[in-house]
Amino acid sequence: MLLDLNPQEFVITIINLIVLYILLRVLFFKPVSNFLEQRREKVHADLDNARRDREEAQRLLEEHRQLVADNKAEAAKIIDQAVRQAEGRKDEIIAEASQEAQALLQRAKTEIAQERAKVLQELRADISGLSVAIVEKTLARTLTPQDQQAFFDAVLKEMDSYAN
Amino acid sequence: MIGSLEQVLEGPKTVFTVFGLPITESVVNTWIVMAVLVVLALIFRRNLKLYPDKKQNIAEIIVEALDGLVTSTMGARNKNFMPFIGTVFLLIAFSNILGIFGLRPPTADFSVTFAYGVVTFCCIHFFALKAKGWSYIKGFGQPFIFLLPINIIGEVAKPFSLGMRLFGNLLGGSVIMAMISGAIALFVPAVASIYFDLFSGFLQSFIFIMLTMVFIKIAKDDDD
Repeated sequence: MLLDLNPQEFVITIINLIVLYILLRVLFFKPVSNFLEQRREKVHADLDNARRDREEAQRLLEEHRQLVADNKAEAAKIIDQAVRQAEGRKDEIIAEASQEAQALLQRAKTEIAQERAKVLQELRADISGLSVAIVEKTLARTLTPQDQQAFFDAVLKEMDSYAN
Repeated sequence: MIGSLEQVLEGPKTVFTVFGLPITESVVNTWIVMAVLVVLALIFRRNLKLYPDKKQNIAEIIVEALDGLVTSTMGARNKNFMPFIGTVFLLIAFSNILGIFGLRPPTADFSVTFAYGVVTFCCIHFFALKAKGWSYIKGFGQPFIFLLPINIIGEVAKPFSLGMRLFGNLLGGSVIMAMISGAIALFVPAVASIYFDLFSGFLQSFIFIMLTMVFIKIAKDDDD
């Protein structure tokens, strides 16, 4: 009795199982599975995004560091160059100035020498005339050319010794 | 608790008749289980959120546990069996624990359990034929052609063994529960019910789906 197979029940049970399968699949398993799958994907995507953002931030930071370092190096180079340029210019100016000074000094010396020579020349002419006149007055006579020559020589020698 | 020992051994009663078709207790109780499952499914499925609440956690645990079980037993490529395996599990498990509510478990009826076994049988061979084609039929003659009858008997025995196991366990549980209830009416039946209705019920449905999964997997994917 208990092991008798009831055909109607058998068939209805199979139909029940199929109907319940379709219902649960449509109403429960598929939606929940899909939802879980979507959430898993979302979590993956979010984690991926976070990782990408972090890498991007890291990269930017690295880039900025590099940039700052580059700028520092550049600035140092510019300052260095400026200093070197200034130094060069300084030397140039000093050299020019000293050259100019040298030239000026030279010219002054030359002028002084010329002036002195001229003055000496004039003095020599004046003195010779004057001394002849003085001597003639003193002696009350005209000097012979020989006397004059001897006298001039003596005076000029003396004068030269003063001039030098 | 399901009435007296005589009632249990007498088999399921016919509750009513539709167009001359007798509708038995087992069928009506199966419908009750189905209705409960569908209502629960609707409740648990409703408004799934990114941050789950308690209700959604339960739904997720059920689906993920079944998913994990199917994936670990049948492999990731047979994940699509999850809704079917899950349905069979929930249906048999809820049918089995019906004894707690004083209803006759539909699974204590051989016509019902055999029907489940036959569905499994059909699944085994349908999916195996779909996956392997002609070579699956040739497989019955392996390793020698003389083993063909033995192999066929082995296959045909599967729905019987599945059905008998479930039926026997449930009927046995019901009989023992009826006997205990008849002997001692107080306290003891409640404790025994935890084992025979709850534990044994879940265990038997678990065994049923495990065997179903293993049979389908072996027939479908094993290359021999």
